[in-house]
Amino acid sequence: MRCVYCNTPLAVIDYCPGCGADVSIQKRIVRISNLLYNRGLEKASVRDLSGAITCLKQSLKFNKENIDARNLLGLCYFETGEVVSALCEWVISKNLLPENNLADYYIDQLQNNKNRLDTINQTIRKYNQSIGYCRQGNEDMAVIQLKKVVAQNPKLVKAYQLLALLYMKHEDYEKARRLLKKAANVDNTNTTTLRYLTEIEELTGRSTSFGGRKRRQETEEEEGQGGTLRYVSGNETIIQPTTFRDSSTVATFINIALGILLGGAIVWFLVVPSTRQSMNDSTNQQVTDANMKLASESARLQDLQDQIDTYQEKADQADYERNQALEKADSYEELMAVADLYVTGQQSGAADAVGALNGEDFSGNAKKLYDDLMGAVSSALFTQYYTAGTTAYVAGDYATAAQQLQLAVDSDPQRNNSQYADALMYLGFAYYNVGDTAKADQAFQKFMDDYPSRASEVQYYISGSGGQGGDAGSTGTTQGDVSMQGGDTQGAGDSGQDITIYEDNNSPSYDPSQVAWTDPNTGLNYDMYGNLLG
Amino acid sequence: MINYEEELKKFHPSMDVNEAEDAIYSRDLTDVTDILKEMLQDEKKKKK
Repeated sequence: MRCVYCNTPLAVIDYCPGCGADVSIQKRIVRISNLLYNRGLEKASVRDLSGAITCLKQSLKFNKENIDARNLLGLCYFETGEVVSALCEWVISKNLLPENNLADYYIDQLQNNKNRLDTINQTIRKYNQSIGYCRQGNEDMAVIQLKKVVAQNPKLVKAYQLLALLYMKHEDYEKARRLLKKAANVDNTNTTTLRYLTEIEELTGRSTSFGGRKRRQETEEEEGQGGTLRYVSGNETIIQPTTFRDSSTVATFINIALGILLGGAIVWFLVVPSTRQSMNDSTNQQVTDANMKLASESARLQDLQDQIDTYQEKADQADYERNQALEKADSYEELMAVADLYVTGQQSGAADAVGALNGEDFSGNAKKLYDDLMGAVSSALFTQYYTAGTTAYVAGDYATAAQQLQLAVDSDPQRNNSQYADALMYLGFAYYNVGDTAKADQAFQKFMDDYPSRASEVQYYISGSGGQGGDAGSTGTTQGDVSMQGGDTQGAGDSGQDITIYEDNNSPSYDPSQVAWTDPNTGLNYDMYGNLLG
Repeated sequence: MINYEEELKKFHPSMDVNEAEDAIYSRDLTDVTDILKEMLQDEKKKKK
């Protein structure tokens, strides 16, 4: 403090050490300022921020250089959400006392957290905008904005008050009461807040309680101090534990043992069953997986076995087709050999060879070639079988005769050969002499059917016809007597040899050794190829 | 009974950060000591 007259720093006394002027008034002014600061400090300490602001403003009216009062005023502004006003006070304070000033700390705190400052600035703008909405009648918009404001800046008392006023206008008194209680928690002696609350209490007939939360907070504080009970007895503060604790060594060991037992019980009854259950589940899962894998492998094995069977069938089919193809190729080879024999004039060999072929083995041009060859050599084949059969017949070998004559008959199904009728007839006789009467009857019947004009030659030998029966050829000139002779026919055959050949010495115009067969009816002789001799 | 319109008139826009500088410069920082000094100077002038 300096003298108002000479600007000399003042001492404790009421006179200026420089000019000797009476500075008691100046000092009184400063004391008043300090007194108001003290009052403001007391009010601020009990959250009477409105009262504190009033006192501090008065203090600064008396002494603008009261730095503590100005800093505290800024702090009160900051606490009520008036951040810009607080910042103004702190800046002025810093200009009045650039060094060793607490305002530096406050300003740094604000400037270091620019997001916080921006948020507060936005809430102030929204608050101003809400006032504009209210004055324009857009109260819904104002409510929306004010809700955002109190959410972002919960210390802005004016926003609580304005929002409460809007709720009160819409007669939503409970919401207004809650907001005003929050405002009172920030500044508990704000006249506007208290006035609104009084109005609400009058309208609702219910008082507003502030003590519940404070009492709860006090209880929590007491419990948070390690379960101790504090009270003041005279000038002494007594701290008493709320529970009695026995801290002897035995009790410690007992507690440890009990803890161990309790831990073991927890492990045994809670952890072990869950672990066992998890192990069982894991095992079951593994078994299930193994079964599923086994089933899938079995299915795959079955599929592979089916594929093997399919391929085996295909292989067998391919082998069969290959064999068929080889057989067909052999047949074709044999057919070509037959054709070669036929072309080279060896009809006898061709006839033998073509008889060994199967016509079903050929198709297309080969089939046509086979049919042509068959047609060409069938006559020779018939003659061959016929000659062999009659030769055996003459020799008394009736079985061979029957076999060869059967082949002759079978080789000419169209009965094209002129000797077919004889072959059929002698076939019947051969079977007859062998004793196979069924086949003999069959052959005779066919003969009678095919040649009805000559039926009388054989009908006598059919079983059950009432004829002679017995051995064919044993009755001399009967129809069953077959003889091969040069000119005359005589039924002189005995039972051991049915066909007797008589030499004709009168007119042997051919070599008798060439006679293969003599027609029993006409007496004509034929060679082994069916050619007429003589 | 609270009159909404009258109460609304009591609410004034707050200063935002951009207005802080102007507010600081326009602040009247005159205190009682300044008034005392001015009175003493006026008294001196009257004596002269």
